[in-house]
Formats: sequence, C-alpha cells, structure tokens
Amino acid sequence: MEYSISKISSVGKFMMLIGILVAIPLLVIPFGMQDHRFASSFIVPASFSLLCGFLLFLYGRRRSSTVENFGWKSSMQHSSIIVLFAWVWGMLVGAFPFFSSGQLRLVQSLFESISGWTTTGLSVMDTSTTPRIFLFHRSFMQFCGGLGFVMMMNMFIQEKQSMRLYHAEGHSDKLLPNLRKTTQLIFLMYGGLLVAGILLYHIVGMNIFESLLHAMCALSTGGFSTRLGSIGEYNSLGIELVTIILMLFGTTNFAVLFLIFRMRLRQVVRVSEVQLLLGLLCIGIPVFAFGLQRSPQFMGMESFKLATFNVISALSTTGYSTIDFRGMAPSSLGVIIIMMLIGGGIGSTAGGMKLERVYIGIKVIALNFRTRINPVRSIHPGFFYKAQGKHMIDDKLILETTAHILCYLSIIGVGTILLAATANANLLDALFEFASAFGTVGLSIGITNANLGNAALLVEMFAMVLGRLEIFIVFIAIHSSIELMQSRLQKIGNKGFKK
Amino acid sequence: MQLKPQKKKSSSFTIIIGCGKLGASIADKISDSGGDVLILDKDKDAFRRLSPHYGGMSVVGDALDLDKLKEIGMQKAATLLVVTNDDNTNNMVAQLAVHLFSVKRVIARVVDRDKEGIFNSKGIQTFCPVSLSQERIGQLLSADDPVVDQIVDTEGEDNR
Repeated sequence: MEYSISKISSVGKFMMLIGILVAIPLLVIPFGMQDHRFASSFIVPASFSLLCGFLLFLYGRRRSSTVENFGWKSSMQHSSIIVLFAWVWGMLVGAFPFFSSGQLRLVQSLFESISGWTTTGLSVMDTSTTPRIFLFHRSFMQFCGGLGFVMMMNMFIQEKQSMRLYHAEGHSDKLLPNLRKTTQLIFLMYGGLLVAGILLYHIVGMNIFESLLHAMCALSTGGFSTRLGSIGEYNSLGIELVTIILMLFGTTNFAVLFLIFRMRLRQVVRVSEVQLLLGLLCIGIPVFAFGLQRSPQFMGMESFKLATFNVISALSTTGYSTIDFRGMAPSSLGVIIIMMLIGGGIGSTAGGMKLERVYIGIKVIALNFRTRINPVRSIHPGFFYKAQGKHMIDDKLILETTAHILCYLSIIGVGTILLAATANANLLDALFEFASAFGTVGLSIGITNANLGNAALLVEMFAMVLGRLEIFIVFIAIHSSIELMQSRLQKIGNKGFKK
Repeated sequence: MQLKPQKKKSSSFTIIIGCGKLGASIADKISDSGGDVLILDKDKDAFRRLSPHYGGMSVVGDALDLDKLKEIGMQKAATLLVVTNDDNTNNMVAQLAVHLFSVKRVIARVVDRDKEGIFNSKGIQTFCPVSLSQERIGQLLSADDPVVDQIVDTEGEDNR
C-alpha cells in the first residue's frame, strides 16, 4: 500500500495560516489610541510568512503533479516533520513583533512567543507598560495554540494526509463521522464558550478588552493576564468563579465536552478522566488549604477559596494565580507540583501527563498487585471509560502509557537540574518552575522574570515545546529529519561518486 | 487540495458493518471523498485495515446489539452496508435497519448463495461475491483471445 503526501505544499499552507494569524492583532488598532505605531511590526512578519507560504505552495503544487509516494514509515515521519516545522515557524513568526518593536530582547521575545503558542503563560513582559496590541497578540496566540495549527487548518481544508497530521499533533478524538466536521464542531464549541466567557467576565465587572483576553487565555488553559498579579489583582469572587468555570471547560476533553453539550450527563460522570479530576480536586484542595493555614493571614474560608482557585488552575494547566507561591509551605507547593505534573484531559487544550494516562497508570499498578496475590492462571482484565465508551487496558496501551509517563518523569528530573543550574535557584523552586513550563501551566515561583538569563530561558522554552507536542513527536521529527538528511546526502554522494 | 464537499453529498451518512478488506476499502473511499462514514466491527484489531488517512469514525461493538446500533446513530444513516462474513449477522442487521430504523438503502453481502432469497424478500439489496467472481471468470473464459495484461479486479469496486 502506498500513501501519497504533498509535503511542500502543505508546509506552505501552514505558513500562510500562521501569517494570517499573526496579522489578526491589527484588528485592535481601530480601538487603541496609540497602537498604530506598532502596525509595521505585525505587517512585516505576517506578509513575509504569507508570501513564503504562497511561493512554497505554488512550488509544491507544481511538483505534486508527479505525486510522491512514500511507504508507511516515511509517511508518518513526514507528518511529524510537518507538524514540528509548523510549530517552530509559528514560534519564530510570533516572536518577531515583540523583537522588532523593541519590546523585548531576541531570546525573550522567542520565549514569550513559545509561551503563547504552547498555552503555557509564563511571561517575561511587564504587562503594566506593554501596549494593548501586544497583549492581544499574546492572548490570541494562546487561543490558537490551544486548538493547534493542524486543527485550525483542518477547519478550512481537508486533504489526504490531514488525518495523519491530526494524530501527529496529539488530537485523539473523532466526534463526528467526518474529520472536517469534527474540527468545525470543536471550533464551534470553543467559540461558543469564548463568547459566553466574554459576556460572563463583562457581567462580573471587567472591561470588554480584558474580558476578551482573559476568556481566550482561560479557555485555552493558557494563563496570560493583563495584570501583573494575574487574576488575584482583581480581588473579586465573581471573576474568580468565571475563571474557574472556563478553566474546567478548557481542560475537558473535546469528546466529553460534546457529551456535556448534548446533556448526556450520566455518560459524562462515568468517564474515568472526569472521575479522576474530581477525585484529585477533592484531595488536593484540602491539603493545599491546610498548608496555607500555617500563616495567620489565610484563615478558615479564605484559605479554601484560595486553594480551590489555585489547585484548579494548576490541574487544568492554566496558570492563573491569586496567591504568591514564594515562601509557601512545602506541602502546598507539593500539591501544586503534583497537579501540574498530572495535568488536564487528553485531547483538550491542557498539558501535563494527562489525566487518562495517570488513570491507566493507577489501574496498571492495581492490576499488577492483583496478579501478584492471585493464582498464576487467573486473568484480570482492566477497563476504563472514555467519552466514546468502555475500553480495555491491553498490553499495547500499557506499554504506550508507561513509556510516556516514564519519559515525562525523566525529563522532569533532568530539566529540574538543568534549570537549577542555569537559573541559580534551589532545587524545589527549579522543580516547580520546570514542571510549570513542561506541563504548559504557567504558574511561577519567581524564577521566570524579565532578568532571567538566556540559558535558563532556553531550558524552559525547550520544555514548553516538548510539553505541548507530547514529547515523542518532537523526537520522532528530529530523528526523521536526521535520517532523511542522511539518505539525501548519501544519494548526492553516490551520484558524485558515479561521475 | 480538495475543495469543500457539496452540502448534498455531506448530508448522506453511511454506516458500514464489518471492517474486513471490503468494508475497510469502501470506508476509505467514502472518507477520502469527504463523506460521513462510520465503521463498526467486533474486533478492535480489524481497524488496522483502514488507511491512516481515514477520517471517519470507527466503533468497536457487536452489530447485533440493538443499543449499539442506536448509539452509533443508525436512525440517521442514509446508507447501510453490511459486509461481515456471516450470513446470519448480515441478514439480521439488514432487517433491523429496514424495519426498526427505516434506513433508505440497505446493501448486504451474501456469502452463501442459497440464502440470497431470504435477503431479497425483505427489500434488501444484496450482492454475492461468489456469483460476481463466477460471472467474471465466465467472461474471461469465454473471451476468444486471452488478453495477457488484463487483470481480474478483486478490489471490490465493481461490487458497489
């Protein structure tokens, strides 16, 4: 069997899409007073990306008249390369406006852009002095990054390899019997929630611009705020409640979200991810709250209010905070770190290890225990519930899940040490910050700020990219590009040799 | 690049029961042309026959389970293809679709030619791979000169 793929033209299409996305912040100009000075720093990268994309697209189309056929392996490799390339390109183009307008240094602007597209929300900007157009640009990047480029692309066009790309970007669910309709439905739900979020924020007393930005970032579990003190600066119960609701929606798997919208609530409660989410919150919130009670200023209900918001923010990998994490009790910090590691729902906008994998991991431990205490010949099948129904935990799934969890934990270990070394921080702080970057959360214990050195920024940037694209695809893409490069070089070498 | 499929076309929802070679290849074709398609099979491993570009849904389940048929939205289907290799299953699912879900077009595979009569009496369209192959072989044999590079098409496209 052969699979055809038109690599170059689809790369071109992604570049055009990114060009359009970067141009969208220009829409803010009519509403802002002095933002038009920065227009050129958006127009230049946007049109550059559009032009490059268009040229590549034309070039690729002409070539694709002789359709290239690859085997299964290289078809998979090509799709991962395309996805990684699209993301890297998006990050470069997204960083350009910050840099060219002199808002940030080169590495800082890359950091801000990556933090945007990966829906992390760590920031090196001083939001109180930044012009509005850049604030919008950041938040809009998060909104799109939450969906992913492939998802946005599929909304408009569907072609032969879209399904492969869709998988390569880490989307696991099909909601409708047609890929394009699935993505349109997801966008519809996402857009509907956005509008609802904006209205709710506005009702509880935020101005329109800030409600738009916060709704975009809460829903994509991003976490960029327009204020330095994040959501905590508003000190309003209403705003916190709205944020909690949006964060929970954002961290819910799209398929589960679809069930919620169809009011199939009994099915929703049965889904393993939802059960685990609720269970974790029930344990995490009290532990965090008791940790807070050590200091006299957070007593009684106040500590529970803070705990609810911040634990949900960590578990949903959003990263809005109402509290300063510096000097907090180790038990509270531990809860937050574990929540950040676990992360949100699989196939949602969230990051982290994902609830489903953790659930399977717990099940595997239980199964293993049961096989040990029972006769050798007894069988113990394990099951878990997805939005689509009951699934059996078979060997292949166990292998994939444990590999992912192990890989995740080892990267956390290595990254923590690297960050501690480069940022000159103690190990606990470094663990917190690295887990936050790797889980695309965005809570900060104070390491990430405008004065952080380039090396530490690079470590965090790498963590964010790995975290958003689910680790393996990055390695597959890098591995395949090296392999392809080698085979190309070999071909060229052979030709030279023959001559 | 494929342009948006037309509205008329996309509203036709096809359900395929049985993800064998035939079912999988038809599902791939419909999905590639931008149609809505869902494929059901008892065996989870059967879905590896689908191409990686397949964009429709694939559901694990027993086609004789009435709840499962409701769950996959049989009542919304415009076309049903029953292509498992068991005549009893094919017959029963096809009848359920016609009588309970009033699916407009039901096409079923008949493995054992003797049973074709049972299917036809219920207003179900059928095809029988054995008869089709026989016909084709007959054609080939009756041709005066054997053409060397003519290939028997076993992909199943003719069967549609």
